[in-house]
Amino acid sequence: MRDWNALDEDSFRREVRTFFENHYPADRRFPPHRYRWNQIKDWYQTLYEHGMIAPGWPTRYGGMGLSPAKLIIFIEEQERHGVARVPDLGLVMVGPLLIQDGSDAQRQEFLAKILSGENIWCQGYSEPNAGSDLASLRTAAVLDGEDFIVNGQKIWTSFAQDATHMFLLARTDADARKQDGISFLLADLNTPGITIREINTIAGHAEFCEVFLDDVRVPVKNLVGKINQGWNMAKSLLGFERLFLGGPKQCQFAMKRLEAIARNLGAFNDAIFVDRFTQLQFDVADHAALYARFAKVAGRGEKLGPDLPILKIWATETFVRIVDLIIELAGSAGANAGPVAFGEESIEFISLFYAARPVTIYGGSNEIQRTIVAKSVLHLPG
Amino acid sequence: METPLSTEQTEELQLLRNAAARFAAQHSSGSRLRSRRDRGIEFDRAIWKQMADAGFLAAAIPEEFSGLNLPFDHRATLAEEFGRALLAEPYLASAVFAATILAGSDNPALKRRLLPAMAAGELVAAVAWEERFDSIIGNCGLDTIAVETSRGTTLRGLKRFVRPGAMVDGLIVSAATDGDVGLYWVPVDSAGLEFKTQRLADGGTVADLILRDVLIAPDSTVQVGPNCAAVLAAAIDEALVMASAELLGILRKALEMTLDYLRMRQQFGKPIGSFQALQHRAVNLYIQQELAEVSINDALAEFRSGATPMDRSLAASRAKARSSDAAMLVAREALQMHGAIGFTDEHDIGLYLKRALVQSAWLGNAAQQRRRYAALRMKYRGHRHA
Repeated sequence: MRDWNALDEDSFRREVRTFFENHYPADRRFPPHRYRWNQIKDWYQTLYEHGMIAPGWPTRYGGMGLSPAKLIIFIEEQERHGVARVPDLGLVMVGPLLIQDGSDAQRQEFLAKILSGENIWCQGYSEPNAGSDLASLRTAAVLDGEDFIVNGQKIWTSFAQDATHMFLLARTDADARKQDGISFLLADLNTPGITIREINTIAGHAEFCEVFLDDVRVPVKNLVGKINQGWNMAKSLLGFERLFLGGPKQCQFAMKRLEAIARNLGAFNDAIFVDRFTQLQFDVADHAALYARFAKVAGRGEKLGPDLPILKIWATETFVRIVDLIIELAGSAGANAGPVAFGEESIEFISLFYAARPVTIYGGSNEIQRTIVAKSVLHLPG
Repeated sequence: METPLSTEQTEELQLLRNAAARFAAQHSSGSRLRSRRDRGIEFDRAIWKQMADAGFLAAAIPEEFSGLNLPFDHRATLAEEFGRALLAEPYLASAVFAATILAGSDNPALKRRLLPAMAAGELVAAVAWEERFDSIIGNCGLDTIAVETSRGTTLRGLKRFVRPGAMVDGLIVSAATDGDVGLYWVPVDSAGLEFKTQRLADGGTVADLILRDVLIAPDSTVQVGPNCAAVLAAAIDEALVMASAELLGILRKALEMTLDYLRMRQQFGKPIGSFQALQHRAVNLYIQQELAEVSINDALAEFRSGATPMDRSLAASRAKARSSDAAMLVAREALQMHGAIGFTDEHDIGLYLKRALVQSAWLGNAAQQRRRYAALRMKYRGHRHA
């Protein structure tokens, strides 16, 4: 097993960069939306074969064992090159959770299959009546001999139709305080009683699904950690990855698009446009500086502060403003549903427009993020 | 690549911050600012002398001229703490802006005459370089001219927005020379000088300066020739970053006061800070505060690492634009959230709004910094493609 941490940071960055340049399919850089499993599984396989599929896992479980600082470099280089996100919930959620809180049997059963891509995981958290207020979820798991019997409905389950397994939060104590009656379960999606229905987004892609659970038997051995401790475990999983919900590359890439379009249209001769463009340049540069401040803390292996949500808020709202300006520049072409001929290439303005919609909703809506910061950072009452 | 501060440097910086905060809290308060404004006092020479004794006025002066030549981060920390306490003395205008121009001068005799006296608090200098509302954009010529006569060099013209106004000992004046630019030292009692002093919104002063064939004393040329513009631009850029730091101090304190008020003020039987409409707006202000901090830190990192003049200018304008906008937003929202009491002269929050306005206008407001940045970038691209 290669000791990646023996490399100094610059050499490591170079090596990772070269790897992406040599191995990642050039025609799939900076995809406008997420790829389905059959579009991206070759890349998953390539990463697996090179031992680079799980950069954050310890080496003894088949990961790269990267230090926090090197893990940040790895992800930054991935973003810099515009490498598509693979279905990674097994890699960033289930794996780390089982390594930390799982049983030996669970690690034995699941970890290797996550690495190889044999098992693909989806996340069963949100429900029709439990979105921002996730802890009020109602999917119930009742103990019956060696199994829990699970009944309920999950929604906004990204790529459930491509997944083989789902990790889910279910209520195992209806009488306790709502956060204290939730358990963390692992379910095979082939279990009888599970029905998956795709949901089309406004962009016309089936990125997420509804998952119905009717008398689904989940063996007790698939309970992670202790019963009724699921809420805290789910919260502890929202650590490191939240940093990348607020990463700088999405905005920087959108700015490059904006600049190219504006140049082509001669918009830089318009003082009003130049002022707005410059404002966005500052917004993006200051965001990158803010990201660097948080990344430095994470890179030292320290816990990120309660003000981390401001990074996601600023990243996503800046992205929205950039896209708004692109659509404005597009003028008559801004409403076309498909690609529009533009100079020597063609641009799909509408896919950018759609891409700017969910960013302020997913990962905790920006309104919820603001409420969290108001209470935990600004210590406002209520 | 950025050079991070060592632990030792960070501790040193904290000590300096504490000292500056203690000093400023002792020598500045809302009631003192109001009384000074009402009595028409521009600034207090006694406090200025104490600032010198504490070493604050020597921060930007080289060691060979009795200065301390403190690192940029230290100078910014002083500016931030003075801003937080609304200290009225012209630290930025004189001890930073004027001192930095002189430190960049290639006239050692003049530097020996002026800089040690400035560090000691015995001489207060101002810079008279603006002639229009938008001199920071840098695309306007100088109407003030330096004329060679049989008596020597004389200056003729009108300078505007000179801070802190007439109560200084001398001025650095920019003027067009034969096809170039010059910077000259003009003692305040020179014949042919006339000040038209006005109040700033915060009670400070600013003056227009009329120069009627003012004779430059021997050995009083700060800088002439091809390097002159660069010396002035470098000092402007440093002053922009320091003004940004002062604005950060102002907005931090204004936000703290506002959050305290939101927690304390009760309406409808509960603290108004429990209302989500206000909570979310407060978070927006906090975000702007953090953005201002990181953009200033980026600029300081550029200065530390010896970046090119172009990169320094870009970083300085970016920091000043963010800090000006952030401070104005925080101060306006602070007033709104305080309600009617915030609109009274009696409450201190209005003093923060006024100082934010005064410092965001200095050396170019946010919109002007964006224009400067865009113009510089255009030039930059031109060079790269050439």
